Amino acid sequence: MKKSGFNTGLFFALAIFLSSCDGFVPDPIDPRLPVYSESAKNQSGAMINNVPFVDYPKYSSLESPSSAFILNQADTTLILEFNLSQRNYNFYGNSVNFSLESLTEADWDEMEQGFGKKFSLNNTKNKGKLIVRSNAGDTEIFAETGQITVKVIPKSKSIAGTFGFTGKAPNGKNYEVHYGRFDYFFQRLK
Amino acid sequence: MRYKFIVVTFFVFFMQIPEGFAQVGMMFGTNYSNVRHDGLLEKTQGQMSLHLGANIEVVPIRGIPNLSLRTDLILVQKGYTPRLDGSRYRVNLEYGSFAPMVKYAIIEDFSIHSGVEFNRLMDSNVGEDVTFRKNEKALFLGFDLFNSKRLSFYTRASFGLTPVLDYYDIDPIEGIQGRISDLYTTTIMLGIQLNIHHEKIRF
Repeated sequence: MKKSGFNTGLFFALAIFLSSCDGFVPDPIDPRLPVYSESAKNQSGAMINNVPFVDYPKYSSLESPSSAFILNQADTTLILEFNLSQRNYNFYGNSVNFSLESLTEADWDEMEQGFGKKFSLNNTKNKGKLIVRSNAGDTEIFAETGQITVKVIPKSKSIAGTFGFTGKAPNGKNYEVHYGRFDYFFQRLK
Repeated sequence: MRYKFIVVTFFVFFMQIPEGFAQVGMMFGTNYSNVRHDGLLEKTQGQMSLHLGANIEVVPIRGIPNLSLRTDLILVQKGYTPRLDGSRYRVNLEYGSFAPMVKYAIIEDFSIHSGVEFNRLMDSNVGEDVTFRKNEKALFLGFDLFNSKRLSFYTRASFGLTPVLDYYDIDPIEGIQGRISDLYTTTIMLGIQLNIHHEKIRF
């Protein structure tokens, strides 16, 4: 029996389609950024010096669905790091990193209320930084003013929030991280 | 629930008309849509899309044959196109629309119509389930040409009465400041109607 080339072509087209799904869900006001959500969409984004950088699930056979790093250490320290790239680029040009220390049970309770708990980034307990990656190496820009708001939603097993800060690089260049938002899978073990 | 009540009431009303006349039509056309807002979006432009539907028209009062009641069931794509950094991003809002209206024929081949659209959001390429409201109401006004022929033309302008967006007010640095409801649709439709029953028929 003669084999159909059409079926083979269809199979490969389907395989390519399934291995390259784009999980980006745009914001209704600024579609360059991901929508603010609280449903574990595993995406984040921010305007860094007015350029949109995002992280979102890329369902391909070569890439992982999320590049974020979220670590809860004994319920007292929460570390969040989002690796952000320009849309349709695979190179993670920037990362934003937050370290929230000395968390109490009251802080966790507040993180489940309303829009979440706001942590100011201009003190020693709560730190934020932008890491700019290049061939010459990584440059760390520490937040001088700004905040991160964290909301924990046990029902949807997610951690979501917003962030924004400004800082200055060692070479004197100013950086602004605006309209930051994130929404990742998270489950707190009590 | 309220929308089901409106739909059921409307059809019960039609069933009560003992000596009515009805005309059934299919409609298809293009539409231009955009949104009105309170400074929420920077630069936007409208977008062209399509609509498709069917309608039924009855003359409820035999003594006033120029006055009719009509209901459209339409699938319509509305939306807006933000322009950011020189690029355009289409935001599509796909609605199933139930649109009862009053129509009056000024002369045989020219009539005006006006009514209220009850739109149900079916899909969007932006946001998530809770970003846009499920229901929208819009007031519309339009006119028809050659309505007594098998093929007729219509145009209609509709203005959203309720906001379509339920979202967060996000400050660049301080994050979420509260919730906002904004974006009111404006749509201009232009299309062709095929009158399946050319002559108005009895129930």
